[in-house]
Amino acid sequence: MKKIRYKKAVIDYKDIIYNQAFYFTGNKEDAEDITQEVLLRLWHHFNNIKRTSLKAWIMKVTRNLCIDYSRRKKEVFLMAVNDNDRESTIWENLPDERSNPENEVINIDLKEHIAKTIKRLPEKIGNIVIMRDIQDLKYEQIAEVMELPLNSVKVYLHRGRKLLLKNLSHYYKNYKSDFNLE
Amino acid sequence: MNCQEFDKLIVDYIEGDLASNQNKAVEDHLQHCNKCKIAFENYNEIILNTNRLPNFRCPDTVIEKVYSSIPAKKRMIPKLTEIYWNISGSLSWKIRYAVAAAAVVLTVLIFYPSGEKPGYDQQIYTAEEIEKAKRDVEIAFGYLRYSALKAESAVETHVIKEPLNKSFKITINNILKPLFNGG
Repeated sequence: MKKIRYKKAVIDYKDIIYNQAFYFTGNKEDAEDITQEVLLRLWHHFNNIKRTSLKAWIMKVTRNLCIDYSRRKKEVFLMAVNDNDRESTIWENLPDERSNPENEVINIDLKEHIAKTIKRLPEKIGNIVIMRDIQDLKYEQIAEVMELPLNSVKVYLHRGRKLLLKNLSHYYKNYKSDFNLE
Repeated sequence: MNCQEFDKLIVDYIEGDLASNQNKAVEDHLQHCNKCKIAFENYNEIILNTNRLPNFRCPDTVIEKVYSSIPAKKRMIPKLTEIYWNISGSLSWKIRYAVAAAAVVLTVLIFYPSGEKPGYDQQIYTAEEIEKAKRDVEIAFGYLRYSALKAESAVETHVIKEPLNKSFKITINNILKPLFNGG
């Protein structure tokens, strides 16, 4: 019985975990490792997690592992001479689930820039932007995962969007640098 | 409404979470302040573009690795046979077989509560054979009654390590009663 319920949870949440990890780390291999680790932890704690808080539990563990991975990566990055080659390959060989004519409007260059900018955002802001603007999670769920009041989630999200806008200003013709950027 | 106040309300305005008077104030400000109007258009566009980032599918290999790492089913409650072998050390061979027989009889009672019998071929027996069978059954019931008492005390000593619940004893007796009375 546990196995059946667990497998259903895996089907429901594997892509959410993978995308959260992918956009946070900007790396396919790390996203795979994190997804695997989260799902294994889920198995070991499955009987102790309330069904109603399953999603929040999963996202919390994903967030913590993402932080661990990025810390480890930072250490490796400091030792590496040049990591630019790896950086430029994050969009290669990945199947695009949402590919349809409408999405062709955004060119790959802008997509890559947005993704890279999200990755560089401060941890809390980055996670919130991914959860809300990419994964479409509800504010209440984000607040539970981040252990923040609802209002703070909105403040961080607003700040994140403005930071994205600032960093991608060259894509926007009428961008005004004096827009209230805190 | 000034530009700073407008800035603080953008998120709720986009979500449609503002009260109607605040909503109107935001819209008025957007009509009169060109700077905020452009900023708002850009803000909306960045949300739209972030929304359009692809949602990737987690590779199947990841899930395969997860499933292969999950240990085989662990039994948290010991099997009845395990309990039986654990307690049987303190019982004589006659009692052991009687307990096993009791288990079989109980299983039959549970699965055929309405007195239905498992299918068998109809056969005619001689009076002598029937008498012998009756005697064997009486002996078996004797063992059964004795083994039920032994099993009770063995369960109390070795499994639950406290006296059996009174209502549980009554239930067992009720199940076995028809057998003891030759029912």
